[in-house]
Amino acid sequence: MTELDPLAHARTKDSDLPLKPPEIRRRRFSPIWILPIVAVLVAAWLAYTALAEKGPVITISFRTASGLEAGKTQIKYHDIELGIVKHIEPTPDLSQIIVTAQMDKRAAPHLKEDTHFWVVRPRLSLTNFSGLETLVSGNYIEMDPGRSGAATNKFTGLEEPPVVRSDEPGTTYTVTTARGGSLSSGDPVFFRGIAVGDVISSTFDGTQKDIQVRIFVKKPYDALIKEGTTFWNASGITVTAGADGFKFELESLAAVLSGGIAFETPEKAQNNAPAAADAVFPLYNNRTAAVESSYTDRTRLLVVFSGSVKGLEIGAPVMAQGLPVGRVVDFRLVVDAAANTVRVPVIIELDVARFGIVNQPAAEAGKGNLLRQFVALGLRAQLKSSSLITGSLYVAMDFFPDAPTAEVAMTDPYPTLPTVPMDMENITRSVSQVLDKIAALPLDQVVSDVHGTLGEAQTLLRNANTRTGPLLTSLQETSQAAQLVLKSLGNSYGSDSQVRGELADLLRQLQDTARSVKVLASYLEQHPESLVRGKAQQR
Amino acid sequence: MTEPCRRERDDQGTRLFECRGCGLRYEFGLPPSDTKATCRRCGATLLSMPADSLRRSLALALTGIVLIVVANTMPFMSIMIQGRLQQASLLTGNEALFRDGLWSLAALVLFTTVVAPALKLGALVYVLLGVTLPRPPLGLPLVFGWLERLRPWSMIEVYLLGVFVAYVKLLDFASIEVGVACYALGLLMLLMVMIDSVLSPELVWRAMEDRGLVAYPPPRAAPPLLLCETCALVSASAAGSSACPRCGARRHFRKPESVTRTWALVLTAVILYLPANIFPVMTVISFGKGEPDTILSGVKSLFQAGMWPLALLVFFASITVPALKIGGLLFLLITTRRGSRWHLRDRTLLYRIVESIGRWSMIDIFMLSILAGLVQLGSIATISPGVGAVSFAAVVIITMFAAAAFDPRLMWDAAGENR
Repeated sequence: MTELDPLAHARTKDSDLPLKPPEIRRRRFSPIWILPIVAVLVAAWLAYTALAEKGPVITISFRTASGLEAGKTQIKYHDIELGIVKHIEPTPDLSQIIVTAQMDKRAAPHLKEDTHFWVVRPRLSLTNFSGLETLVSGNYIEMDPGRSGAATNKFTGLEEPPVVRSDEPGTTYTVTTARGGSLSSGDPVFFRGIAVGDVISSTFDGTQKDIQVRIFVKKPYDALIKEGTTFWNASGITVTAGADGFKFELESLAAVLSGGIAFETPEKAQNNAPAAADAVFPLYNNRTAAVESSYTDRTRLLVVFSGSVKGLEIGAPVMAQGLPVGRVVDFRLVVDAAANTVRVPVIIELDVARFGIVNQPAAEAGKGNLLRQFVALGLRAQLKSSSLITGSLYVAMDFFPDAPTAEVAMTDPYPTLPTVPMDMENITRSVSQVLDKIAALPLDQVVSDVHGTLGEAQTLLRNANTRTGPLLTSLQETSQAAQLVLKSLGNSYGSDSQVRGELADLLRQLQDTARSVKVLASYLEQHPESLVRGKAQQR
Repeated sequence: MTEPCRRERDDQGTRLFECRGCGLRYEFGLPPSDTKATCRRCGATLLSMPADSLRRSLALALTGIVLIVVANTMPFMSIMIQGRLQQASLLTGNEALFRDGLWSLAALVLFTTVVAPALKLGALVYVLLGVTLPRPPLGLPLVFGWLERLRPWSMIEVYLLGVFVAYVKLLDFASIEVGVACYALGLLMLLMVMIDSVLSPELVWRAMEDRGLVAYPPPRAAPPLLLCETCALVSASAAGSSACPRCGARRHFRKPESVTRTWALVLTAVILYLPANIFPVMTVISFGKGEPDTILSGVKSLFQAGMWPLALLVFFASITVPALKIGGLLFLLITTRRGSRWHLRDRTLLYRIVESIGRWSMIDIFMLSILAGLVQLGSIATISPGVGAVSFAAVVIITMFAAAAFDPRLMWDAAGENR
């Protein structure tokens, strides 16, 4: 075409204006491409940042996918989102659920072999409610970052949240016990009634004699654990009816419901070095046993009683001047065929530490000398009745200056402390003294006082009567409510579980109690005088 | 093989051209393919000669139609906020704006992102295909004339940038899945730019001349000569008629009342510029807590989020560009009034920049329409457009009109260069 050379055809046509030829250039970059280039750059940058922020993809296996949703369930660490669940798929053999999650870049350095994952969902137990916020927000997966181990991206999720997170400051110890009892993971560890730690695990591997209970004590409190600290099982209520009366021990209501461990450092161990991490301690059955265990310096004596020891038990206290200083360790019946006598040798154990011995000449620092010295002054062992109700006996060490002289016999294996018989005359004399005192009482005045008192008692009873009704109704309501609770517990605990059975027993007893109170109230209404005179004999 | 109705070309193919930038006239034949003719005085492009312009444009436009259908029907983005899924197509944002009572914004976004691109592609296919048919359909010159006017209003390219900004804003509180339509939109943007680059309107007009659809211009043009704003034909102003002999559009020696209209529009834009920056453009309400975002605070939050490239982009598009447009046009108006001869060529370049860059400011408006459409999750998160957005959109549109109303040739006239 002739047009290909435009310059040849460019010529002045209009006399007004000089028509020059235009500039002919090759078409090069056009500025309209700026916009797409900007778009491509921005897209590339966005892609880069999106990829750069993405951390590794990990898989966690769980037994159940309950409450997990792909694209929604987050992986959190202390409520900071570190990842999101992308896929939830079962393994080919359907034994496990594999959760695939896209993690944040920040999480990458903490994905170690000992990193733990568990699902936070609402959990209700007798002593602990956790994960309630997930009722609203939905379940999420909590991460406990690993401290050591090789980096990995395959994890096995925990079915239950760990008792102690790896980042919680504190120390773990082991206590050993013959009976695991009611201890289970998550139970509290108490110090003077304050929960300062948790039971991590209670394991029995079969090779060891005892059950190994791993406990965790939180940061400032772990300094309280010294060498020589005693641990005891604070599970449940300990009621002991012994010669020293009824004893009722209870660490906390939570411990009653779920069990727990308590510890205490005895006075003399206060200045010991703090116990090393993972130190092993024995676990005693109750506080008394734990306290007694701390008296390590013991001495044993033999006491021989000729009469009946009915009511004496192993573990019965040995009292000196009314203070417990030891306990009965053993006794048996010895029939002496030669002498035709029956004796009961009783082995008692004295805690030396309970005797504060002062002013003892250094040369006589042997126990035997001191004992001999006191026996010469009349120290004897005697069986005494501690309680008329239970009829139990204890061993008293008292001074009887009038007693026939005796000596400490250095018998084998323990020295024998002389005894005095259980003196019935003493008792009868005391009784007659009491009777004398009663005879001396101004009975006339008492009777008139009692008369006035009776009048007041009647008024009191009337008032009481009006209130017993509501009390009874409320007792009934309580038991009904408790039954409701039981029913609902039955749903969650299963109708044949131990907890439910025990609770049912408790309820029945409550009902019995209510019934007894009712009977008592009606009886008192009819016989107000029984408050003073006691229940009348049935004719 | 020549077609039956093809007529002979006029004398040796030379034609008169007038530079739209400075008004200088040239006469030359079509330059070789893959070249372009530029004005020696102001540097503006007189005629671009892309190789195989018509056929390539047609191919691109056909592809574009497929993509625009995909982009408007397939899911565009889906976001997941607190476990709730929200899907959006390109039209969802417009519905949301309409629901929020901002029908003017909805109409604007709908027109610039859906209607104008679709019309543009449709018209292109109609004209380019029609011109090759043995029996060309009716109205090809009319459709092509309108196509030229529609061109600046197709803003798919800017829309894509708006998508990016919206994406980044959403990253804060949602997980986002990008849908098929988003990729289609990216491709469509590239296609639109390629079409603009490949299509040479003069060649289309010549093709229509060859098919006898429009009249050949009279071979000898005697002064006074007029430039047709629609088809760029320079021809004698026939007595008593201002119609272009080729496309029939009305012609003017210079854009009518150019200075007055530009002044009026620029001043309007200045007034609207204040509310556009003071009032919130949108309010993000998440869990009952809401904070209104102005244009500047939006940039700031992007910057604080570490998204500084996007922050710079939005700052440039939403703050620099409107200011540049208003300031630039005021500068051009004042220098024109004074008849200044100072840097005439650079001032013409400034005009071309102001004219072409105006669309960029729509980024914020598009971002808003996307966010408003996607984030409608009741109490969890809701984004509602604010009053500032309408003012801002008005500033963008009015400055675009102002730039179109200004005639750069007047600068050269005033400087005495054209006489």
